[in-house]
Amino acid sequence: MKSIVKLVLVCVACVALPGVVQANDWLLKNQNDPKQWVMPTGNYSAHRYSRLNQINRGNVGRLKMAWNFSTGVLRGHEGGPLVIGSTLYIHTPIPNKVFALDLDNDARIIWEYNPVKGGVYPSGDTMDRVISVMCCDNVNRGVAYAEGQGAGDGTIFLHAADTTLIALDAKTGREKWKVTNMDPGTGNRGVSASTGTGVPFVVKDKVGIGCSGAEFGVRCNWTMYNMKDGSRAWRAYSMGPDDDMLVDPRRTTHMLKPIGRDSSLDSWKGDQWETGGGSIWGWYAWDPKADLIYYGTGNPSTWNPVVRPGDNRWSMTIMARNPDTGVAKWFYQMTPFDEWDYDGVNEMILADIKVKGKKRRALVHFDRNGFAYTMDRITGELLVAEKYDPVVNWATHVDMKTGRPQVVDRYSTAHQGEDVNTTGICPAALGTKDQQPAAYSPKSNIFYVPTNHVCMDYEPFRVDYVAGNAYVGATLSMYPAPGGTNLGNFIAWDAGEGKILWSIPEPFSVWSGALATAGDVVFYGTLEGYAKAIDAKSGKNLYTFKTASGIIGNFHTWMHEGKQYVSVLSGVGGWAGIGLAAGLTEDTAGLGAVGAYKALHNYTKLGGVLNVWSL
Amino acid sequence: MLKKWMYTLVLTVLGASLAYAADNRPPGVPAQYDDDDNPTYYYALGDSGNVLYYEGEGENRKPVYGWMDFATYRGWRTYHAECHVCHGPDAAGSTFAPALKDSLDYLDWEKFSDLIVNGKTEAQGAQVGNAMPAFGNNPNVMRDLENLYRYVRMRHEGKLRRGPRPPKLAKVEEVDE
Ligand code: HEC
Repeated sequence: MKSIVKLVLVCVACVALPGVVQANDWLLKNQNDPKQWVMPTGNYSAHRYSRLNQINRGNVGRLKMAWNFSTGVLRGHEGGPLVIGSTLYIHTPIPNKVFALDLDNDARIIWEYNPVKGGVYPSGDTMDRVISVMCCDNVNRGVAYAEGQGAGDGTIFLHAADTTLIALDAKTGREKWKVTNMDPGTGNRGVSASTGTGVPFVVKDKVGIGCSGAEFGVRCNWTMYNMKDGSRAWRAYSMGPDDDMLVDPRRTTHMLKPIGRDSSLDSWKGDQWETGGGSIWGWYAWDPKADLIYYGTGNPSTWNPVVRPGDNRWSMTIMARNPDTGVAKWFYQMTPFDEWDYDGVNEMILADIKVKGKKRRALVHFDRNGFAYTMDRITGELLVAEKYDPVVNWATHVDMKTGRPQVVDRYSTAHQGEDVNTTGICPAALGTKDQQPAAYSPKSNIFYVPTNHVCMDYEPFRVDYVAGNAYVGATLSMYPAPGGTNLGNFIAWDAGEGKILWSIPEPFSVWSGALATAGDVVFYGTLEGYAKAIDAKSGKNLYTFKTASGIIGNFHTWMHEGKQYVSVLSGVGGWAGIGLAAGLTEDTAGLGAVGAYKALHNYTKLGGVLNVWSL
Repeated sequence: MLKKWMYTLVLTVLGASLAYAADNRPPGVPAQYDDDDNPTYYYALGDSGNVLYYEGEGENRKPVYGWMDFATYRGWRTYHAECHVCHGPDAAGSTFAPALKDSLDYLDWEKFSDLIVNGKTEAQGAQVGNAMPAFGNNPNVMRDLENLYRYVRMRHEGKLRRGPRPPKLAKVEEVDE
């Protein structure tokens, strides 16, 4: 009897105080230990910044390759390693292997895990089937780690390509539990052909994942699982009835106003929301004080806007939700009625910065659509929306009262219509930036952003939805932005004013995640395979090294036995590898035309390697 | 075993027609087949306007203007909607799927269409970590199966440049939209 009373009391406490962060939160504590790299984004604010300064502006030129590790897998290697204590965890593209390497023992392999057995994923789908519904190469962006709060003395979470979330004992690599989130197989409307590429995200006692598949008419969602047993805690769809989206029509806001009843249903024709897309596969953040998690949703499907009139809510939206209940506090839709495939999934960086002279708890987001947004992350107020590549032309500006981009008819693929080729749209569908995450240095107060500098022609046309098959409905051709031949830039951004500080042109799109450090050095990689270190203030190049393959992974740093290491995965591929392998345009050099011909396959070949440097 | 393609149809038609002026697009033609009954493409030349392909090398490289038939154009469009995410733009290849414009060195119409209908898995000899999906139950692809071949063949035979949307002749009734 007594124990029952106790039990009830304990439970009342957890219901009454769902937002309270437990003092023993391992990740909250350890994200501040610069010797480790405990989550893919570096910390919960997604800064990708390290306080280590052993490697610095003065000595980075003397960097040496310390060791490297072949993953044994070809195809595009996105994401990067975690370093927990003296163990380094690294993942691969399909088949989504995970390796635990012992840093005390010359990176010997402690354990290795492969979710694919006999060619079949845990969901029961064959690896071949899964590969055939990956939109843009076999990529995976990495694993997450947790300890305590249901995760025992250490759990590694893997979001496999077949959408199965797998909990592994961090010490042994043994499976603790696994649960299939969606369905890569055929048959079910709005679910079929979904895949997993994004990292799992641990908050308190739960671990969340999104889903990919907007090119296949999947209606995507964010789902949180309880770490202790893999049971589902909550699921919030990107579109559909209010209950499916976990919104409170009177309290959830958009541009500071309540969204009202049926905000999504009213913005789609008929039942199109059932195959509405809105995938979630970027990088996420958590503000423990406000107790809100942040992520962005992707494109509405199909790519043919003419057949889906309306704002297609809440695709292309930044979402702020309570991590315990999932209920949304605020939304901001960046690209209502998408006509160009400008997914809103890129990273959400939380920074306490001065915005137009006033101190703000800000959220900074570099969107595919070419605008960089600074929001008040507590209220969802829009503070700054400026182009971070001057060639962006599909909208003149964002109306700060309504939050709507002012679309230029000439570049509106819906206005131009079906079976009409709309030309000269900047940016291309790749976006001014894709998922490759930017870094923020609280020391320099600068955002370092890897970008694409590519434009496109886009022609929408009619297609039929068939469950499990691609549902695209547009053709596009891409080419370098006018006025130059460089396909990328690495830029420094002032998010308080919305201004580019400086910009380094790169021959190809910069598709690697940046890292900023207290040593006043910023790192990024290029598609030809160069690892580069630059001065955090001026952008001056301080170090260049050509790795085994093109870099689409993200830079990380950690310290082991008193020595600072910097690492990045090389292994070309991803969407960049598809678009740029053979170059973008005809070789017209013989005609005296601008030499825009740049075939990536003349520079680099496939192969995954983890590269590790030290002084 | 290489199959010899028949270009005669295209060539004779071209030989018979003088180059059209850029603003004087000739009439459309129905979807074409070669003498072996394999799907093929058709084009008409213009004296200026849209570049269809390039001729010659280096200094001597020069543009050739004209229009492709509507069926082949549909192949271009369907390719760039359904295939380019793996095979790269312009059938030119990517980091993981072959350049189809070169695959016709060893694939004839039968093998080409069979691969699209049935796909190819690792078990059937695809490279490790690779898979070509089966499109047999995808109407968006099946209705353009022949046209996909027409387009890739035109690229293979160097009669269509890379880059943005190619110029096309008007559609005729045989080609349903
Ligand atoms: C999900 C990615 C993907 C998509 C989409 C895709 N393919 Fe493929 N395809 C492949 C891969 C990978 C191979 C190579 C398999 C191997 O290793 O042999 C291939 C092989 C082929 C081949 C054989 C080429 C050769 O040289 O042997 C043909 C023909 C082909 N594809 C046509 C198409 C067409 C036409 C479409 C669009 C309707 C298409 N594919 C869409 C991935 C794809």
